[in-house]
Amino acid sequence: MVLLLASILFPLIFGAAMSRVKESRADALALIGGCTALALNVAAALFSRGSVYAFFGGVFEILQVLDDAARVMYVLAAALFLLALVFISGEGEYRPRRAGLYGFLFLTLGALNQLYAAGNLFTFYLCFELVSLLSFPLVLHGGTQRARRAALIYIGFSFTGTALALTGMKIAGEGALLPFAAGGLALEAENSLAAYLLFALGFGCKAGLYPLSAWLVPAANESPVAVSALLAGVIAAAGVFGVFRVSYEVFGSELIAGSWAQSVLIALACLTALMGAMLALHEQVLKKRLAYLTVSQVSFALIGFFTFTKAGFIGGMAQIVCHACAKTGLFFGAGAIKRETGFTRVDEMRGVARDMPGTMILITLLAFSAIGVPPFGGFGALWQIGSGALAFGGTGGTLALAALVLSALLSAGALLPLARDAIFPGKDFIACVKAPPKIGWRVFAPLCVLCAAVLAFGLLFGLLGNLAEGVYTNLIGGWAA
Amino acid sequence: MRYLLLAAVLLPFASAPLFLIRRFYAGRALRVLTYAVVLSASALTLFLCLFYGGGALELVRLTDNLTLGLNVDGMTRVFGCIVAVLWPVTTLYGFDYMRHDRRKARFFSFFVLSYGATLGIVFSANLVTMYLFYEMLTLSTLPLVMHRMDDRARYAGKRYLLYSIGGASMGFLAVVFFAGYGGANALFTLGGTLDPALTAGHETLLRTVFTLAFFGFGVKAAIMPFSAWLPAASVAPTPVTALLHAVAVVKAGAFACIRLTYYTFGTEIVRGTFAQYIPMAAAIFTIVYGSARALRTNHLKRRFAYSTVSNLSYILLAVTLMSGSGLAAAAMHMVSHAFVKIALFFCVGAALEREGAEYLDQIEGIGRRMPVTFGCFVVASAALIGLPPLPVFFSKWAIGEAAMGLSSGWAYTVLAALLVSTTLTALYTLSIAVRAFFPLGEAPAKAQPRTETRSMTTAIVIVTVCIVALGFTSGQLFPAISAWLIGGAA
Repeated sequence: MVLLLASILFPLIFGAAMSRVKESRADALALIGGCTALALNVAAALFSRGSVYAFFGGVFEILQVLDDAARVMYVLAAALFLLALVFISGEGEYRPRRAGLYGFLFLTLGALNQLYAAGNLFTFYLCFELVSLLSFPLVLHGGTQRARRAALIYIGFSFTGTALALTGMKIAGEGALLPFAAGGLALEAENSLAAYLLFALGFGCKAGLYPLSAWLVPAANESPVAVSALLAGVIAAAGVFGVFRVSYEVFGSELIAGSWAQSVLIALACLTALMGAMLALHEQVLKKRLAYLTVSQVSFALIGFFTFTKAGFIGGMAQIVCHACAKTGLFFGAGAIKRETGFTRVDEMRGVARDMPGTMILITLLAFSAIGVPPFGGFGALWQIGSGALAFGGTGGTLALAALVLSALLSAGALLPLARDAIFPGKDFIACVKAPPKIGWRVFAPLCVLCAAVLAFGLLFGLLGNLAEGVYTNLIGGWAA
Repeated sequence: MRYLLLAAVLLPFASAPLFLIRRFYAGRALRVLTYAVVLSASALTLFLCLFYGGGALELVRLTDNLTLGLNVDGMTRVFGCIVAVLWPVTTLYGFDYMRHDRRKARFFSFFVLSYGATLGIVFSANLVTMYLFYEMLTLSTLPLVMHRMDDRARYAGKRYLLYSIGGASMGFLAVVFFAGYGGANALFTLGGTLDPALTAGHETLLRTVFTLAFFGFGVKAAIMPFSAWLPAASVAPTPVTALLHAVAVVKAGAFACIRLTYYTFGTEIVRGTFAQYIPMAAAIFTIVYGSARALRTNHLKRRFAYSTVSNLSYILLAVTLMSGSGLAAAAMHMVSHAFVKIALFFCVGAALEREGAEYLDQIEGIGRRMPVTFGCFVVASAALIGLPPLPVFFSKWAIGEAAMGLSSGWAYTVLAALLVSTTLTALYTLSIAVRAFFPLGEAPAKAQPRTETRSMTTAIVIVTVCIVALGFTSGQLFPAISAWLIGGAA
């Protein structure tokens, strides 16, 4: 319990304190803080058993408790935040006002920790709003009119999402506010499907689920690149996590599986996956292309969860983890390219590998994982989601599988030509002769770590799969074994 | 004990002539006098609201079926506590805000008078008494709206008068009508006071009168289509905009609607008829309209005036639900919105007074110069959006939950309106916070001088602390309010 509380409060307090820190000391302090936060999160994930309560009277209570799914996210989030801090400290892009950026990063991490550890719907809702409120200043960091616009779009969509969830909460009634329980809370069926749909749309907003997906691309494009990486990685994952909580631990598969709400949501997720991938194909600005791909690939995880099958569940969980790592790495790569060469558009990046071969190879490997090429982690996840869609059966399952395969192919079309042109520019390419840039270790190391991570997930997919399977078995009990 | 009621109401009225004495025109004497009157009236009101156990006090018997009287019941307690807490805080803010004004004595004399009128509404025991003080409130606040006495202020004042008197005359119609049916004179009683023997056969007529009266009293609560006076009235000095046009006057309108609906007319005869649905539809429309206009308005005080328009309709919507839980939800939103909105007005008023920032683009980077003020602004904004555990979340939840008792078509319309309005609220509050704290371009390296003043900041901090405290005690407070209203005290 102490560990849990510490892991939530430390980033919040540290982040608030960062506003008082001198710019010159900000880097060192942020790295120390990031390591401490990671250590606390890992310790909490491994050893925390208790729960934290606070009452507001009536039906509203704050309950924080770690279950297996939350433990996974705990480690993942803190690790990715630490990498982002390392990356920012090695980047020149954010020289001024760096302490503020670090501060809001820590605050966001604290809110995310609280969100993962939320033990009931009210707490989850509260943390979801907190994450929105504390993360939108990150988008504003650029200080331009466009960044401000993107941040306001982000706020607008986020609060539409939370308002949808709140409406769902009102419709579902007070029964939905009990602590999360495996298999659902046995709500009445009458209005629950509508409520469930509202919840899934509302929380799905953070995951970029259509129709509330339009915030992700401007926000990711205007933010500092490390922030885009976190938006696409962990914050989008928070949306998927919300959908998972609502689907499996509030409404329950017995109520949802086979209902019209499930069909609507699968259709929306497939549509999102296809649309995102198609738009990515046409986008020339690399950060925007990656953002569109995020929209597409995060919906893969949603498809997995919405099928309510074992394979789909395992795939969804694995996709959250693998996608977060791969996409964070890709954004870091885009940042590294921009820092060394100033290029932001894909068509400028021909022959970039001459100047920065190591980075480009790592980017290519991460792209393989994002597309779902074996032996990287993304492959196992996509395979499981695909089998989930098949197990779901019927025309819907076939269509979902087709959408998955098509989106995966389209993402390959969006990422691989980039790698090809950068590494093999062709005979007619004339390289500018200039001093080869030196990439600092603090930019390069996070890429290496992430690349190693997706490779490890792929090679040891069994472990990740077992973990997800354990979560699933606990959730469903003997119901669909 | 009973005459304490009279004392509380009369104290501000009786002390108003003192402001005519030259000695109290300005400086320390004026300050001492104002504080003495406001604090003693507040202390008396709080004492009465929390501990009064006696019955009603009959003041004057005008005719057989017209008497004036004072009383304390659940609704009195809710509204009384709000004004008794907020009036002294606004006095603190007001003296700082009006520091350079040469007509302070006039301002504070009417400020005190309007306190008396508001307390009269709070403690009134029947519809006739309430109507009397209601008109007094209009008249005593008019000089406050027109305080600057330039063309715009006078025009706004004229408009205010026209709307308010027009609305009150529709209310007067109801007073006259209900006198014939046993409603205007009887003590406010939960469930209504109309005599069933007299009303039989005249239901449609009575419902029509009810609808007219609801909109009549609703003018002060700025229900559409009678909302235009409120944004115009934001030319008044900020203490007036904050206290009267976010709390006292507009909430008096909502309070009057509650008295009319639940305590005079009774919900039985209205529920399920056009007299319920027409006001409800107007309230739903106003909720969305107010928020949308707020987002479109760049003038900061007008923006929050539109926000008030929207939020008052939350209260009126809860009133039109015609159920006990609706009444409780209305009272809860009265409380939570009062504190939140006064805090927001205090903050933008401080920016206006200290830096002359009137429009949205004038507050770029102001958060560095007024950090406490705009820090509190962010807390109040989060509260207004409905971030738990701040109080508006709980009151909005109560409204939504009470609305679920309607037939499904109306219930979903209400929920949709609340949803849209929440998103708009997030946008129109946070877009101010964004400009205040994240100015465009590179931040200046040097620290900037603070421009806050102590008294105004203190007032803002007090209100913000109240907001947070309300949020964290809402688990005890809101059940207590509904116990005051629908269980327990009559």
